[in-house]
Amino acid sequence: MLDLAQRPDVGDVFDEFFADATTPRPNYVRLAQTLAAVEPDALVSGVRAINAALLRRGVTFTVYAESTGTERIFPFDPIPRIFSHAEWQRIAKGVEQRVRALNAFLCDVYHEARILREGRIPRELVYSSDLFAREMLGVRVLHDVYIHVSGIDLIRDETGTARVLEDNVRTPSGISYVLENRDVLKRTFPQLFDGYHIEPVDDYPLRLLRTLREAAPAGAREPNVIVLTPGIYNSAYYEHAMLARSMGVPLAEGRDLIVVDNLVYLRTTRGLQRVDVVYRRIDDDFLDPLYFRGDSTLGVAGFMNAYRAGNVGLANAIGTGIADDKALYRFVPEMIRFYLREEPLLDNVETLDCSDPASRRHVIDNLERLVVKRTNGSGGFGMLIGPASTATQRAEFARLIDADPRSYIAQPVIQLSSHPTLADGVLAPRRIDLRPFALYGKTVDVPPAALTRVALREGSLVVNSSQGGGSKDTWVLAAQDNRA
Amino acid sequence: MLSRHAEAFFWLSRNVERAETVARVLDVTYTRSMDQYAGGTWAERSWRTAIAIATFTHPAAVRLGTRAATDALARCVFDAENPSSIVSCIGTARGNAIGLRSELSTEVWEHINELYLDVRAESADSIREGSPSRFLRRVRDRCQAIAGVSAATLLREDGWYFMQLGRFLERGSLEARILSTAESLDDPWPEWQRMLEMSSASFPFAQAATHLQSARDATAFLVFNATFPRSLAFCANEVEAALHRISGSPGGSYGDDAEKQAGRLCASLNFANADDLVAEGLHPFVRRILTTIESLIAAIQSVYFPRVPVVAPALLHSDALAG
Amino acid sequence: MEYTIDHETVYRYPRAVTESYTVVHLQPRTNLQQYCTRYALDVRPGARVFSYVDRFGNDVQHFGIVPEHDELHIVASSHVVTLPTRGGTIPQGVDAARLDADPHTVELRDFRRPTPYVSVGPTVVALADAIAPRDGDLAAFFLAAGAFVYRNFEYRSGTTDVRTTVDEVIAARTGVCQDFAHVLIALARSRGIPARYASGYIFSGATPALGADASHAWAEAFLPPYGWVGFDPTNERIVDDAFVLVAVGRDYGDVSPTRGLYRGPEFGSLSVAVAVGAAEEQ
Repeated sequence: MLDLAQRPDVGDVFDEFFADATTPRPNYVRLAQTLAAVEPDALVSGVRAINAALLRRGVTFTVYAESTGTERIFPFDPIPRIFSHAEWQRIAKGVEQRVRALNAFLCDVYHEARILREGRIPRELVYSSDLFAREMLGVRVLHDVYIHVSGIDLIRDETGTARVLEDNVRTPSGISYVLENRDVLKRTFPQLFDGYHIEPVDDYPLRLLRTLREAAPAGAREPNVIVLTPGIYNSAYYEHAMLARSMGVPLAEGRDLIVVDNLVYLRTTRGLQRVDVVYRRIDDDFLDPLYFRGDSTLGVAGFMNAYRAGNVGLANAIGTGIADDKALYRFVPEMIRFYLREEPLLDNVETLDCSDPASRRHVIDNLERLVVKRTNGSGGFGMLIGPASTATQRAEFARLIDADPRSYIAQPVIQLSSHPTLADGVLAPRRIDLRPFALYGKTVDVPPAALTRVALREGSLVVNSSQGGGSKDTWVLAAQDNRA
Repeated sequence: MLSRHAEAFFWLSRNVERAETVARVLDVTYTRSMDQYAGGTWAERSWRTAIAIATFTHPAAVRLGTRAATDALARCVFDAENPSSIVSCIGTARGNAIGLRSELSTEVWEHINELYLDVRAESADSIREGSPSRFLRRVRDRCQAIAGVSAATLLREDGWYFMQLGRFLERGSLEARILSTAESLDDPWPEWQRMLEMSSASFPFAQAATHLQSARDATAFLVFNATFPRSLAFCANEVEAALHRISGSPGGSYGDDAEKQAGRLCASLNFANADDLVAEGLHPFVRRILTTIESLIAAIQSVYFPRVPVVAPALLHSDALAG
Repeated sequence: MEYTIDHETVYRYPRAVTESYTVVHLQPRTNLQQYCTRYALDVRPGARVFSYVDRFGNDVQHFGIVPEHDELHIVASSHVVTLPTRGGTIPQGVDAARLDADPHTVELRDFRRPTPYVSVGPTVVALADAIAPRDGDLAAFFLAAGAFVYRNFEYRSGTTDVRTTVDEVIAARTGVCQDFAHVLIALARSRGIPARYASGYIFSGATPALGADASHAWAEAFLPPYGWVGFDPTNERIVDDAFVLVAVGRDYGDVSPTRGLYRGPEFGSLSVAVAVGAAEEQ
């Protein structure tokens, strides 16, 4: 019998599973009953088998922080995270609104820049960002869509309110884990699904393909879509391959492509084959050595010209990074009001901008109570978690911030919500976040396929795969489910 | 299909085929060393022969330590420096499979990855402690399983035919190498038995043979038999068929250099018989076949895998200084 | 004035190259002070030439040549009319307040900041202070800085290359027009004046001019209400109707006349010939 009574040992943490000491929340009542009948050993051995199967199947990512790139699995936790239908609808609407506003911002900032002219966002903040792609100024992107695929990271604070922690609008990854997690959970612990009616996730590739086809130039009737990967050494290569395979489109590297007379082609065994849409999983800097990094072997010479001429669709557009620069994050609610004339449905986390002298002083004086992030960082790197930091680390960050205040923001430590998670053979509370994905084609689609990441170390607030995180299957109850 | 993917399919199946044959050659040598060759003068020669096949060297050039079996297993199974060792072949096959993750069926990928993880977990010591033969047969079986799931799950499109090309070119060239380890047609019968075993041909030959223990018949079977799937003729015909499926040109026509070379290979096997082979001599005949196979491989490379110098970034034009 | 310009660029490679992609800034601009009445770009081996307008308003051409080739010829021929109104006024009395009050200034942020070729460090600031005190007339400073560069830097080709930095030029006190333009831009930016790199041609007529046998370059400063004012530190003169403007950018990197990539052997050679002639008045 599993002991479900373990509760968060830290005060002021929202518990996703229990409403109070003994009562599960309505979504979780049935799961609690099922789990009560499961032997812990069965769970442990099932998880061991799953992790071994993931390695065997090569569902791995590569960690570069270690001296040699090693293949690792993203550990799987068998206790699913469950959203009621209504709750998911709220989140999906909020994500959709946010993505529309971020897209409108990109459209504006690379053309009229009304939001800068009207002083809603300091021009200097945009122009000082190394993510602001000047090559895109005045370039009309097809259908005015920049952010075809995004992942918006949400957390739940102490009160249970969902807040956006950061926006990922460049090349967010993680969807392959969503698909794999559902698959292995169904096979290994089918009993957990008893009594639930949940939304499937396996139509994600189809929805992605539809979105990508909608990104094609107007003339392409049956658009040829490809996935562009940096290659097998990229940490997310597995995901690139999985998406290409499940969409039934070629997985190409830069060397497989060639630009001829401003059109993009694949080099195939039957000669050159036209490409209409590129779903790229490589960074802007590497896309075209003619316009960006000249030493890149990952990109395609002349691609930018074909793109500028509207001869090829690119998902995501070049230059989307300015919209997820962390120094602009605090302006996203303003973007929503400015472009959409709506009130934000999802709240931000309070954020201090170190480029403001008063805020910088406050941040440096209160480092032990704040989380500091690099404005262009990701993956949990370049980050200081105040309460868990040493005096030396804080002194180092104080120095870094003073040297380059524009590159740092600070946020209060948010106590991420907790969820029962299998740890050392028992269920224990561990912190989680949520990454829903949004697809922007003709409209914005937020599939019920979100990634829940979990910090497997006790008390840890870091859920990144590269830093000891794991993941859970995430369930969205179908409208027909009686708990919805 | 992307040229790069076609090439990966080709090398994937070549390396699986090579790992399988090397495992079989070693297994045959190992098991025979326990009775047939035990203590005799043939023992050392047989390890030399096995290493020659597995490392693509001439038997006379093979240097052997005092413990022939241990030495041979270390070099032909676990030596990562030797590109034809079983670990190298499987590592290369897996590397190609990773590049084909988007093209392969899950089953094919998983079989390759499992074989890789299995072989990587073993060592020369661990297989000596267990049974070398059991390990070698496991490798052989898993390689055959990869071929089997490939046949059962892959679309009969370019990828599959490039796998066929790789598989049958490799098989044919290894078969020719096995034949070249005979000193002459006058070798004692146990040597022909060894070559038949190394070619999985003992039982098929027994079923087909009309004379007992005839070296000439055994050679003819391994070279010309049109129904035995490891004979040189069978391999050549499969290669030619695959090339025509890829190019779409009808059989009997020769659209490109690869098809011409394949046609030449088939002709020299389909229109010859044991008498011709005896007349030409075993070694000259085998050498000619190996040369044709090599020029065929080169032709396939140049027709289908155009080499783009991709490792280095493209070079910048020098800029004109404004004066 | 009317000019015909022939600008020929030839790349020769020791062995055949493939997949070459080239971007050129060779088309003279049309604006209130000059208009380009004819422009033709001839490329050999033959290639389809494509065109776009970049974010600075320059007309840019580009083309790709996939098959093997061992030479690349690019010939740009144009006919341009420049109006005598240009360079007729000497700007003066532009102070910092005036500059900051101008509605355009805020959008010229990139022209007031360091760029890859134009670093604005202590060397530049010290040089600026040696030319004129701070808080003075920005227009007078710009002209004085240009004159200073002319008088204190020696025009000598071969001492610098396309990657030479402003600090290196200041240390060596030698260079060519591109280097002098960068130094003047750096000096202007050190005082907060928006300044940009101008690439084009100078007509060497009755008064011989330096830099006439290649692409020429000078600096432009934004000085309201005069707008962009060009000064050529190589010849110590305000840009007038003897100059033909081709492209503007933050520095050389934005507007290099020809730049490109190819696959093949290293060490290709480059030769450039520019001829600017006065056209017959029609």
